[in-house]
Amino acid sequence: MPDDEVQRGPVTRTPRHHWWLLALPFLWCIAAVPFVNQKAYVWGSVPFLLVWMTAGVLVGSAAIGVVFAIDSRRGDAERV
Amino acid sequence: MALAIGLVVAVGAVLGGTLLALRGTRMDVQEWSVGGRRFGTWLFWFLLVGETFTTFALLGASQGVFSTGAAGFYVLGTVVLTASVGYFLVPRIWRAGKDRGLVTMGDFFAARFDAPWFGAVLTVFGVIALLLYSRVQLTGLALILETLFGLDLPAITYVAAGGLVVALFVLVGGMRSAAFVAVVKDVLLVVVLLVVAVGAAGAAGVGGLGAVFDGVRAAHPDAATLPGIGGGTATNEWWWMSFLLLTPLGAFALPHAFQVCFSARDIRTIRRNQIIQPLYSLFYVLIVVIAMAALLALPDLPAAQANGSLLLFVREFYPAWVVGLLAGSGVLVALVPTAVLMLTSASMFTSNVLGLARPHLKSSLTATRAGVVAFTVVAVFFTALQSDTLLTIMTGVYSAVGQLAPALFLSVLWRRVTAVGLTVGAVAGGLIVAVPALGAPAQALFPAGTVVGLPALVVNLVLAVGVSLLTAPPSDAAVAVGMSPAPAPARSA
Repeated sequence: MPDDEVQRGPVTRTPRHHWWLLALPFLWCIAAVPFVNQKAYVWGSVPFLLVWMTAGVLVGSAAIGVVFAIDSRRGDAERV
Repeated sequence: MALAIGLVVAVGAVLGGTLLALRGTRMDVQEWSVGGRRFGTWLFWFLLVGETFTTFALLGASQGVFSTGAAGFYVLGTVVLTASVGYFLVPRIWRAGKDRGLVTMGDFFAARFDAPWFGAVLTVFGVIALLLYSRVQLTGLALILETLFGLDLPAITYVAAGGLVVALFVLVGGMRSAAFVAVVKDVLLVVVLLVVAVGAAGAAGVGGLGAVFDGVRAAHPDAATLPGIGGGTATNEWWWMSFLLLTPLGAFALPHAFQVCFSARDIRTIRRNQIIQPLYSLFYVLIVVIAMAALLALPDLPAAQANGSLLLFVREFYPAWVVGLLAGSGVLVALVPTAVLMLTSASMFTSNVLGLARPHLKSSLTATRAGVVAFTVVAVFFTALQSDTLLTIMTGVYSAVGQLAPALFLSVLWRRVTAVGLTVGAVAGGLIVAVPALGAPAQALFPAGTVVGLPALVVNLVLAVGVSLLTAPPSDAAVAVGMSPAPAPARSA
């Protein structure tokens, strides 16, 4: 059996509410798109959807980063 | 000149990567197929990115923008969505693999349900999905060879040549050399894309980036919003939402992505990668810009040639050294992922299907290598027989592989799920995707434009859950492969 079985037992399962941040990319890149698609251009002729999706990459990466930072601080980064 | 540069880049990287990878390493099946489970942040990152940033990213993404405008912007969402799912999912897969020495996706499912037959069934599904997916890569590889090296030969020659190169590459080096060459190819690709993007406005004959956007707006006023240029239901908002929902669900059900998960050194490595990887996908912005410039520069390109729009644009409007650099890195971009696809198909087929019938062949490196040759031949024929736009092929791939998502997610989320339930669900979902007579009525229940994989997935999930409740659950020891021990004894039988 693995040596770190202790970590995986039921006792250490503190809730990880901050993991809801992982749903942010789904809201941004999927759920919001019908609304975003109403506007065609920003800054002259740049497609707004392109700007929105580019921002989505940054926002999503940041959200995952925040989750990782919180997990790391709690010593939880290795917990499945 | 272009030909020479391209060849030097591609051959040099392959030889260098293979030699570097082979140095001081003894080859066995684990080493060859999951790199001995020793890849740290950087190597693992490059390999995962290699699997993300493929021929599809280069040619398919540009084809999407070139053909439709806005619909092509969807690619920007793929990596970040996959990463947020990966943060949760990949550590679970990795943990199971580490604890039990699993190498393939079939191994995981066989262990999780204590049912080698189920491992074999999902392996067959997985190999079919991979062969569909390799069509994207081989179509791209053939296109690069054909467009940039410009020899006047029938199309099948290029596909076959691509297949030959892939098979040789895999047979010699395995997963480790794929990872090393992935490093070279990613760096090169970024450099080439920057060079091409910087020159894009000039090549399109306009004064700057703003002018490219102005030009596209004037020529194609409907390009900025869905459904895009001349778009109908095939690229509307429902298409966008259903396709982007299927992508992260299907991404890890692609058996090669699954297998790559095993090659990480630890969970921290995996999680950190999920932050960095989306940032790398910002290079899609460069591809979008290049595709828009191509749209201005090549207004009369027939729709059938849209797959090669980026390549044609560069060939027509850039100096020979850029063409050569793009050709060389383009070959690598196709080669590394295809190599991983073939390696995965062969190793899982040997281990989980052949090994079931002939146990002494289960970990045979020779049988796996023979499998690489066989699957490459099949993939070459598969590719040469049909031609579709890359975006269409990709939508099909995710519709198909998305049907494995319930097996993957339920096996780490729900103790009660059974192999029989998942098989019934996946077969039903697979039939809905594959047989138009079943797919059409299923799609009719959803708004027009919805990718067929989504209604299929709903049916799949309902059947998987329903049938699971009617069949006997796996043993606790088997469940523990995918899930932590139960918190309380409150389990209904």
